[in-house]
Amino acid sequence: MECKEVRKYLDAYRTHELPEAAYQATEKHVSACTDCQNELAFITGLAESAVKLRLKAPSETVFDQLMDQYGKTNTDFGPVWICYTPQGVSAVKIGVEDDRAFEQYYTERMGRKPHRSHVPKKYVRAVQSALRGEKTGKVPISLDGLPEFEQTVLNHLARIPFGEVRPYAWLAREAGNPGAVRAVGTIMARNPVPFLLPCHRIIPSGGGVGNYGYGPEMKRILLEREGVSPGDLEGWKRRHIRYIGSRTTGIYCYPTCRDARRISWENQVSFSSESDATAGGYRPCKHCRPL
Amino acid sequence: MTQEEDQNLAVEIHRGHRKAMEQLVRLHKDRLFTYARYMIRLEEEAKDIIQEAFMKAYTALTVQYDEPKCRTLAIRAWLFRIVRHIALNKIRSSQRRQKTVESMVQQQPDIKTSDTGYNRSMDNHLAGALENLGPEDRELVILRFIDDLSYAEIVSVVGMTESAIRGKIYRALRKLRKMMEEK
Repeated sequence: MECKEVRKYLDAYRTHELPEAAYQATEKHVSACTDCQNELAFITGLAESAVKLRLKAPSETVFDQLMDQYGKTNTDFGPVWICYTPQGVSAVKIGVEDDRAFEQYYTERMGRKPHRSHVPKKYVRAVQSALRGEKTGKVPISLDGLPEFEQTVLNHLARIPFGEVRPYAWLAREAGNPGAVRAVGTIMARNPVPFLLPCHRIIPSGGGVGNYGYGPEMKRILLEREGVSPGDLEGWKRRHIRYIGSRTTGIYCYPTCRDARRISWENQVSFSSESDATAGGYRPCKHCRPL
Repeated sequence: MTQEEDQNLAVEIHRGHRKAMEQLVRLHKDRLFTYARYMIRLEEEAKDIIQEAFMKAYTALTVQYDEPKCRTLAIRAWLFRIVRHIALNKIRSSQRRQKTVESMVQQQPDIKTSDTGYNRSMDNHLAGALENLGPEDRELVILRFIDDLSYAEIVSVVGMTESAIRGKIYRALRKLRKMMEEK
């Protein structure tokens, strides 16, 4: 090999990154050529100095700060704070005083400090539609860091269709733990992503509107806006109606199930319990899966 | 830090371990910041670039890629590639805004050399000489010598063949040596 050719290999030779044959040839040449030895020494020295030019990334480049970002938007319920991670929306909050109060809430809830930034338009639009009682489409949600059962419950909550309601006990069963009704209640009260995860669609097993993290009045408004009449819910409760069946199909549903709403007036039967319905030969709906 | 350790971290990140991502950031942030800083010159911009790059990487590892992909990805080169794309986009969009370009040219990075005194003049010479290299040469020298990447990694970052890179680095070194000997 000529010097000219070897020179191009010297740096890769230094770090043993050459194919075996080229490595051997380079080694043979260098051992005999002082010019190339000199060049190799220069490259080695330069490599040693160069590493010292490596900069330190600013200390605020910590992962926490780039993970959770939040911003604020205005709605007819007042300012709403929205926080998101690369995976999706991680928190929606109304009724806090200011950014500092939101940061404090979020840090206590999630154990991570959020970072003020701007919120992607699609998330802002989704939260605003949800508050107006419109369908939001699929919005990615980030439940990272929450206990496993809480994540399971919230994932099942997300699947309750627009304009329908379900009891707490139903959600507990769907989440695979029928006895955890109280735990489900607590999880609803602490729902980090209200409106997008529709905890307002969860009602007491006995019927009615029930309680809500932001007060029952807001729950009534949200339900009304998406077409569930709180008056109907209370009427069913008063008359002990928990399920509605269809004489034509022999299927019973929750009253707000989309299938129950299509049953014509003269074919409707109402039941106050599951045993009533099954005694009449009715089977549960496969869409709303009544308890 | 080996590629295998990086890949193990990537798999953990994919499975939802946030701590693993923090570790990945810790392992790579200085090299990536150095690269971004030499590409774009402005400290603030370079910071934004690596934050954005880590965000993109995190999204990819947790949402877009499946586990086999995370296990086989050449993580370090991939991270550099993400930084490179973001930096080049920023440079392109700022070239449209002349003002930014001027401020970028004026602001030289203040290169901090180690305080040990060892071979310090060589370090300073090198820092000065680097500034006088063309952008393409400088990028390769930074990747290869300051950030200490392998040829295989550089191939995957800049998308040239290994022999082209060997040739370019050889010529860049010759220029550097000439500049350093003149001083």
